[in-house]
Amino acid sequence: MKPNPSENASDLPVYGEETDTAYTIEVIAELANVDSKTVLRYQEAGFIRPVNTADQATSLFDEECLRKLRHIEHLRATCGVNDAGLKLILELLHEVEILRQEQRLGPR
Amino acid sequence: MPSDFKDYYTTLGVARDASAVDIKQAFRKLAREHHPDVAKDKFTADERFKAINEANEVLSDPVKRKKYDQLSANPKMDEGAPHHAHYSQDAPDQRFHFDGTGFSDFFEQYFSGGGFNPRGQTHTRASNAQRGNDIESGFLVTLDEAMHGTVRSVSLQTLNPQTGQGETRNFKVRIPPGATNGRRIRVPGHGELGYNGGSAGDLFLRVRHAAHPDFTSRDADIYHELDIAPWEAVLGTTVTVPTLDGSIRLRIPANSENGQKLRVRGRGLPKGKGGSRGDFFVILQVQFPKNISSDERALWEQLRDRSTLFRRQNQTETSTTS
Repeated sequence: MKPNPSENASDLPVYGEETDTAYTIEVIAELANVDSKTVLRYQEAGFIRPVNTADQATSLFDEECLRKLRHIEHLRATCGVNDAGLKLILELLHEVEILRQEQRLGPR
Repeated sequence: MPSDFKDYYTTLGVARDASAVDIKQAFRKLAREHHPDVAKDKFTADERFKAINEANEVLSDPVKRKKYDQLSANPKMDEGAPHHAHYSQDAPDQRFHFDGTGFSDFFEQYFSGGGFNPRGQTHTRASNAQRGNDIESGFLVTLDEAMHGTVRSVSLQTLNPQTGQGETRNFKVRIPPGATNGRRIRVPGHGELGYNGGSAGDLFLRVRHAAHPDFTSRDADIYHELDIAPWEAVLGTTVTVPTLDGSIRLRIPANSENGQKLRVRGRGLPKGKGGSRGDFFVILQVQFPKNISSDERALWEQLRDRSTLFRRQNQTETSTTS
């Protein structure tokens, strides 16, 4: 019999942010195991976008940026893709995700 | 590792040749009955609601339904089939099984639409340690959960290829208010185990809103189809409409059209932490009576004779089509 996940659940660790998390460039670089210059370069290339509000001077990134950074590094490491190829692949993957949602939810 | 086959037709209580309309109606009926917010036995209803949702996800989509029908006709297709999020493609020796995400392994294997499982690529040259892969899985979230936010228990069972031992990890996941379709919730350290001392990857739970009998979502906006009578569309009226947080009174203007969208600002899902909310859209669906009494027929005929709309040359003649 499978364990019931709700049993004795009061002591379990809770994941997922109570408020939206934002990382500085140094922190997100460390989490993605790249250097800060690489993050900056991806930001300038438009691969990732900081989540700053207008009054924040320092670039801040969310968890979606972290996921994208790891994704980009995976493509670079395993497929040997250059920046132009990365741009194309990321746009296509984004498009695929949108189309899948459209297919599931229907166009509005 | 083939996963248990699910009989989605039985789950929805429809025949294998049921029409799309039959499936939609069956889903709506069952979803209303077993929705966790209205059922008395919450735990049983929650499991049943998820099963109904999963069956609807597949059978309401013509492409997925065709694939499912082919799978059920030829179970051998199961062998060697692609695995998506629950089983990392890159590390076949390490298996994952989840409880609490809202989707069965069978669904994830064939119908989840795939998730990208980035390969852990971080080699530290001195130790050759390698970070484990991130893995991604669908995570069924009801619109009520997305509206108010909640904390859900998840159980992850893995087989450690290094020790051959099965491991169970239990944890909770906080679903923030306003969690939109496609948003990913990161669970650090619950992806694949690292190699040679490398750290474990992360688990990304991709939010999929559960189908609701009355509402659909689009980003932070909520849509509701409202059936109205032809005279209500022409003359206008005021109706009570359910939303995710209580009913509202909505004025339908005169001369409304079929398919027209009426927007109620700020009654959709929460947007971020600023307190703003998406909008609530009511889509008007003008319905026509199927069976009419003789009195009603007389009134329709009277309308036909007096109306200037689409006056036909032989309007009073009764015609039949084969």
